[in-house]
Amino acid sequence: MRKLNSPSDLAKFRKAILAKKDPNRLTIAVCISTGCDALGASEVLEALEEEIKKQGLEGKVDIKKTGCLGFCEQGPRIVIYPQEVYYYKVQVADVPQIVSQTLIRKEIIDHLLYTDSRTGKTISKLSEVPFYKYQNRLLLENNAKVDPKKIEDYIALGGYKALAKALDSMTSEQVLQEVKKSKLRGRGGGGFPTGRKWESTRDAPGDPKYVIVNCDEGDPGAFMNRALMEGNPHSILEGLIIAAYAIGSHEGFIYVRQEYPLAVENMQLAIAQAESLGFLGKNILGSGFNFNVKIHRGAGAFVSGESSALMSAIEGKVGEPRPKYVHTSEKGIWEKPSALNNVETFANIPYIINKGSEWFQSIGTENSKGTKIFALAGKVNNTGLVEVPMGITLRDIIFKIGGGIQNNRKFKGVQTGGPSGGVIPVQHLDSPIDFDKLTDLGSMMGSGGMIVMDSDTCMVDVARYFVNFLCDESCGKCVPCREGLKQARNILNNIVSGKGKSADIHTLQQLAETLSTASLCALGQTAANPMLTTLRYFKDEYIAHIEEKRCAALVCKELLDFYINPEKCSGCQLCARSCEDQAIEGEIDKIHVIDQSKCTKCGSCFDICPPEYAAVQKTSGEVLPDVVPEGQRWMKRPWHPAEVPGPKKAKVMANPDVAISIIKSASHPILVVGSGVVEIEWEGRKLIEYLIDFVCKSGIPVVATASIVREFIERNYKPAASMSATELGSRLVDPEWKGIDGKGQHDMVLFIGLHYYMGIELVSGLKHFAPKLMTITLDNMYNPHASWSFPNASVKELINNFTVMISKSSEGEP
Amino acid sequence: MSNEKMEQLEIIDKIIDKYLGKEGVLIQLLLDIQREIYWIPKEAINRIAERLKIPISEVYRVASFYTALSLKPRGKHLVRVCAGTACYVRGGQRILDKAESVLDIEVGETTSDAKFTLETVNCLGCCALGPVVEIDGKYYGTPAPKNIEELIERKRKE
Repeated sequence: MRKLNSPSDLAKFRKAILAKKDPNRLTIAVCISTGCDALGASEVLEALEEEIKKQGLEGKVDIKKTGCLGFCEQGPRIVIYPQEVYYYKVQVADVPQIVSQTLIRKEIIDHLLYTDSRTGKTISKLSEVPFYKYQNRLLLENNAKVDPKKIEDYIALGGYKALAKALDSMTSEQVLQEVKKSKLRGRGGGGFPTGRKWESTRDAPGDPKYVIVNCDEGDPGAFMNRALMEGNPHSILEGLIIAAYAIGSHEGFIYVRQEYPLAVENMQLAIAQAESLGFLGKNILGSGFNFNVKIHRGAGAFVSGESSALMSAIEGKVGEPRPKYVHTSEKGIWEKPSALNNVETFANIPYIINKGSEWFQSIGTENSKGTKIFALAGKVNNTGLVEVPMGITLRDIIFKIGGGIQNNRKFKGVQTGGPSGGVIPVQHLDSPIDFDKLTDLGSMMGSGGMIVMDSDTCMVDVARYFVNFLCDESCGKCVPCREGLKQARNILNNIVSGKGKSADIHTLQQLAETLSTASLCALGQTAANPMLTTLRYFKDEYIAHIEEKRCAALVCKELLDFYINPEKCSGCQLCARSCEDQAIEGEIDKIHVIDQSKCTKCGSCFDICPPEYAAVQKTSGEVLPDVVPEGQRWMKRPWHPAEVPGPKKAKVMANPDVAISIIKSASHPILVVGSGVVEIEWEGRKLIEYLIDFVCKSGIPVVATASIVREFIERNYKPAASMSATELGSRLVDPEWKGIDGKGQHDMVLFIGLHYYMGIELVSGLKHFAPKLMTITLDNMYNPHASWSFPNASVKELINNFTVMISKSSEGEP
Repeated sequence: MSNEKMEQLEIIDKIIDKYLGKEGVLIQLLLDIQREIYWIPKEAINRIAERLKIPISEVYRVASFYTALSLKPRGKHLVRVCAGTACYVRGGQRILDKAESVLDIEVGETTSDAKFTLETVNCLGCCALGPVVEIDGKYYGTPAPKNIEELIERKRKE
């Protein structure tokens, strides 16, 4: 490549690149970043290359290998331009169809499209997927458009224009003032104003001065720096060179943790390309400014992300922090002034120079400007990288972009800021998020990790996890951090294993105070945050662990008990076979029993028990029910072990909320009731009475079979029709039938209380002969032939299902 | 000295050659040795100290401080289970328990046939796919405890 000697050289070079590019050319962008690759993106890419040759498209299609697009869990993902067709979870087997159908015939393949879980509609365009729609992807947007290994791609998008502008038409003072005016704050954690940091390095005596990119990203749960460095390395490099110009530095370092091999590789290549085009080295773009940069690989130490520790590591020493009476911006690497900023901070710089500080200030809140990338992970439906303007609420991030909590569970808290941050509970979901607000809530911005926790997450265990992490990562130089964390770990280990004492909470609080006031570096000072926030917002969980030996989230192993509910066991033997400790007694067709003296609480029985039986129970702090005596273990349930449902087996409605949302989706449902509803009784009320409440509230018409009509009438409820189950079955398969009310075919039939074998036969028939009809069984016995069925349930659970369904259904909208 | 050791020393010397006369290179040098021979033998520490003219204690201190550097020999296959927060809340611990029971070793140990070493890593940066396991540099997203067993068995047969 020829060296560019002036901004006009760069402009010409860009023009030449653009002239060769055809915006309408067929291009497939395949994300091959670390995340998608873990899901098989390289294999998909290879298959694509091969298939394109095979189907004679060679030379007519460009394949672009891009960096991370952020929606990692949906990988491997491809985008086909110019139509912007977005396919996700692409497998090698899909490739021939993609080539023949979408590339050649321009047809969209429905099953590869993204389905919005809330509306059930498929979406073909990348920008219309809700995950992306509500973001403001300033820094991440280009990840989809550039091949990180090609500098031409970056230049085509206007890359290095900001550098040319700074060098050509701005003095270094003007650049610094522009950054200062933008109010950009450091994205690595502390949020220190970037402009002021640069200024103090520039003004500090001593030469040479250094600029450093911090890509240590040691916070578990954060990966935006990896995505930026892997996906768009030149944007960081450009920001770095501009910073060097503003500060008057001629030597820079890029510190990358060794866990990110692809980031190192792409950055190394980017540096070589920038050198050969003259963006690095001597007399950059003819300006007379010289700058060189080196990559330094980290060797795996969390504390190395701290600025003084990182600089020690660059010197080749042990990465331990030092007291900061004098800031590293004045005395850093080899005692020379050193400005260190996070990857994301540098990525913002070209935008600020190109578009001006006023534009940048228009995004965000009063004291936190611009966008922030969060790494959304944990128990949320859409995980990945989310870039949003500062000031957005947690609710918007987690529910609008993140699509809510996995498996419809309850949101409990979100952990922000990595191990030094804290857990923010549900009552603060509507807080606008910026640097200051997060600190007020007891957490911090940190690098932007955001780990969502649901009702299955134990907060004491979370605190223990972080304290354990920090304890391992403490460099050991100062006593409060080294010894304080060790003591806190011991206490938390005791609490989660049921050996906690009442005084422990007070001791933890004292330890936390000492840690935050007396530690040497920010790591120690903030190490208490996970303890402090969980104690502040979830103290009741600590008390339950200590006083009642109960872990409500059912996480802490020592506090758990497993038993088999005899009302739900189907005698299938799966659990008995999976138990490595032979702690389960059980023969086929007999109720199984766990021998508590042998149980090691490994949970494998709980995992293997099929969801339709859900017989193995996990509890904590409860008295276990009596064991069924040896001679009485024959199953009382009409279970049919030879019932083979075929490949289409009923999906399990794990809870009544799922049931009600399915029922509400129907436009013309009916409920078929059999005599079983008068045989079940709970707290003096028969099931039929709960059922009447349900149909009155939901407005679903009832078809009563046989003698059960009388029971309804006695209770002042008139069913819409009465006929035998077999007769109803033959009407339902008749395409001419106009429905129970003459208004047309039904789209959903709910069943309850039919004799077990009758139910099986009837629903099995409907599955084969009325395949479009949705069938749902509300009984407490799993019915494998329905579309949806409740799992095996005890009477108590069955009644609870109805109580919840009654409270959540409303008249007029079944 | 055995042939194997001689070869090792040759590799080490070649790596040191690259860095001689430069400042602040100790960590990069050790990382290169780690990559070539998978651990930092005593001979390497002595050799570096001798040729870079720095105290053995300083080399040892750096080599023992960083988790990416191993002072114990590692097995042929390196299994690393991510213990980052996102992986942890999605059941990373259970993957680790399974790996320990399948390999019959504890975290940080190497199997007696020197085939596998099991380690944890703080974060692999694939948080959205958690729990993540890395085997010989390849990442596997969201495996169930059962799959990890299969993955290990497949490697064992290689």
